[in-house]
Amino acid sequence: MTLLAVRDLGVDFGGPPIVDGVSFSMKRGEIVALVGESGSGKSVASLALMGLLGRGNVTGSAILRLNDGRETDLARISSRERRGVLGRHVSMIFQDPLSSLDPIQTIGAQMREVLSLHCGLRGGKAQARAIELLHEVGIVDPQACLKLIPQRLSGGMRQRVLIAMAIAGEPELLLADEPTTALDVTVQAQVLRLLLSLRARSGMGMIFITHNLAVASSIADRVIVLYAGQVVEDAPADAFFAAPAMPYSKALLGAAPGIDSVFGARRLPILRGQVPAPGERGVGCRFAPRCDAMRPTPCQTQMPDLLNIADGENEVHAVRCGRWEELAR
Amino acid sequence: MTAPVLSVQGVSKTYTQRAGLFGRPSQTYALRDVSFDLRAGEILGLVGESGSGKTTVGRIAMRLIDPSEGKVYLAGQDVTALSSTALRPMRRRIQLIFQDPSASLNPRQTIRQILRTPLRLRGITDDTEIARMLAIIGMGADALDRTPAMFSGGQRQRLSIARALLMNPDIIVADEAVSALDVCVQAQVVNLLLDLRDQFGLSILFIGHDLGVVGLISDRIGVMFRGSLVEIAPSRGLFERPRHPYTARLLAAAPRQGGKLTPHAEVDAGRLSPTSTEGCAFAALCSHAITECRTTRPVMRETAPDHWTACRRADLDLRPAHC
Ligand SMILES: Nc1ncnc2c1ncn2[C@@H]1O[C@H](COP(=O)(O)OP(=O)(O)OP(=O)(O)O)[C@@H](O)[C@H]1O
Ligand SMILES: Nc1ncnc2c1ncn2[C@@H]1O[C@H](COP(=O)(O)OP(=O)(O)OP(=O)(O)O)[C@@H](O)[C@H]1O
Ligand code: SF4
Ligand SMILES: [Mg+2]
Ligand SMILES: [Mg+2]
Repeated sequence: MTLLAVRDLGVDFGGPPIVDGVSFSMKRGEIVALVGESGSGKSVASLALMGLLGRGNVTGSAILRLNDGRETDLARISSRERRGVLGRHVSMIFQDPLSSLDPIQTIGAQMREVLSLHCGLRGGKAQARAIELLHEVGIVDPQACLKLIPQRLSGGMRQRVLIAMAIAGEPELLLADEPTTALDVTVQAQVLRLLLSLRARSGMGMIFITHNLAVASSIADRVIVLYAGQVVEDAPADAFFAAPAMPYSKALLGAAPGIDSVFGARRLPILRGQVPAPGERGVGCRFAPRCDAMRPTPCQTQMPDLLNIADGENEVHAVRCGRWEELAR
Repeated sequence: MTAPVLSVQGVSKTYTQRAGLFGRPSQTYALRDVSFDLRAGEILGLVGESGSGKTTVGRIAMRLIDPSEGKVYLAGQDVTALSSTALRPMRRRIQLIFQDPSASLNPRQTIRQILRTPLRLRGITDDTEIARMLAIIGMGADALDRTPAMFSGGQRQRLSIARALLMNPDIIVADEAVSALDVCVQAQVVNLLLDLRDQFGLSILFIGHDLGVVGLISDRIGVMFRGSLVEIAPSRGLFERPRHPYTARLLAAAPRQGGKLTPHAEVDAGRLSPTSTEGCAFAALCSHAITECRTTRPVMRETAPDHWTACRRADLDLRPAHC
């Protein structure tokens, strides 16, 4: 059952598109990792999906099918409709914890408000649930944490408070933008397992934005790679980590130092050049100027399509590379 | 041997908390008796539990906050008691790259204004260094006339790294400075920091959670747990032969490409028990704990050359099973 179908999503801020013809769909309960270079439009795309992009023009559609059969286009939802959907059915963990918490209210007050709004819990019940949620995300002393204002929490504690608030309403779709960057690996594993068990229990689907490919590997069913505003690979996680097909995906997997191979190397492998600015993209493949496998034709002359190269029917492994077949040999 | 560029000696930081408006105040330790040296030209990694005090250590080293106890020395000089005027010239030599870049870039300034400030402080008026730095962090000159809000999280982080480096400091405290970056830009910044160290002898306190990155960049690594420094050792020795059970647990939990996690609903009960103030902070979670672990605080001992461990049972073989 499809939970979300994104078709040709585009976002611009008056200039060239920042998010450019992004299409993908996800099933109920599926966990999709969205990875890709910094500035490729991951946050902008997810804010557009949440209808939270202040300025900026959004084109295309993002059809959300809720459990109760309702269908909504998240790309053009009215603000009244949005209030009924956000928090309850769809919720988001923002990339920047400090600016998404109210600096002058205690964590307790902010959590009670969320619990009242999305779960109808008040008073002692809300307090008890808040403590339980903070326990689940591994906060050592929840009672003390509830009394503090955000500034007094460590970076990782803030992130966990946001996660606790986002899952409080047991949403059907969770958009998590770099939710575990400030967590140590043991707490990170605990939080990821919590999200996995929430998925098992309530069928929550999740878009998990991350730069950490080992984290993506730990929880994702599918990996979508964004480069210069476009989807360049969309693959089942197993296939992706075993044999990524797009040269940029290969570069990503090679650039992260694994914990088992850090000694010996004195420097990390570098991908030469930089991402073209939105106004400076050529007609060909946007990765061409940095790609070791580049051939003037077709790479510089024609924008490669996003092709499904999966063997089985009903499977998706899409790749945007004009030479994927030769490179796979 | 020359004096360490930064020396933190017996530093504690306590915060007072009240249970309710009229409740009895109680002290909580954000840091407890932490000592370490940052040697000249060294990259010292700092890893550990979220909330264990890593950011607090960095802020105390910068004298952005005062320690409740203990002393901080910069190039041999005690700076704990210096007034803010006396501190000013010192401050310039040590730069902090914040964990949260949006909190440190003025939203009303353009990038040009933001990056000119450190150069002006150094008496430099032309912009060639700005252009060079932008190229290093992988951004074009079109960035200069925009304000911080128009950049992605990782781009903002790169700008705050550029600003810190333009101050030409001797010491950098990098507080999760690369965790918001994509792996390709992260590789560039990591290599840049290594180059600056090799060429100019820059010393770096590198706080991070990605053990692969911290392991690669650091000469030595300190491990923190609930306000205490529990182990500090050369990186390779720490990874290959951890001697503190918390370090071993941390290394075992690191995610790996190709690995998968399974769901679980239960919370490790020991993790929630209050930290013992008499004994070892890790005792409640430790499968090797003996009675004394809960009653007396372990002190740092040299368990191998330059390898220091605060564990009563540091003789245990905690090597990861797959080695
Ligand atoms: N308000 C805005 N006006 C103009 N450009 C913007 C605005 N907000 C974002 N951008 C641009 O849109 C692009 C995509 O930004 P986005 O935040 O989506 O990147 P990202 O993929 O989330 O990156 P990161 O991994 O660094 O968080 C960036 O190049 C950024 O400069
Ligand atoms: N002003 C304050 N009042 C009360 N407690 C505080 C204050 N500032 C920090 N703390 C506490 O000090 C402890 C250490 O925080 P710190 O930010 O140093 O942790 P950290 O190791 O950097 O964690 P993270 O990896 O999550 O960033 C935390 O428990 C935090 O709640
Ligand atoms: S189309 Fe050409 S330039 Fe683009 S990724 Fe494929 S090989 Fe490289
Ligand atoms: Mg982002
Ligand atoms: Mg911190």
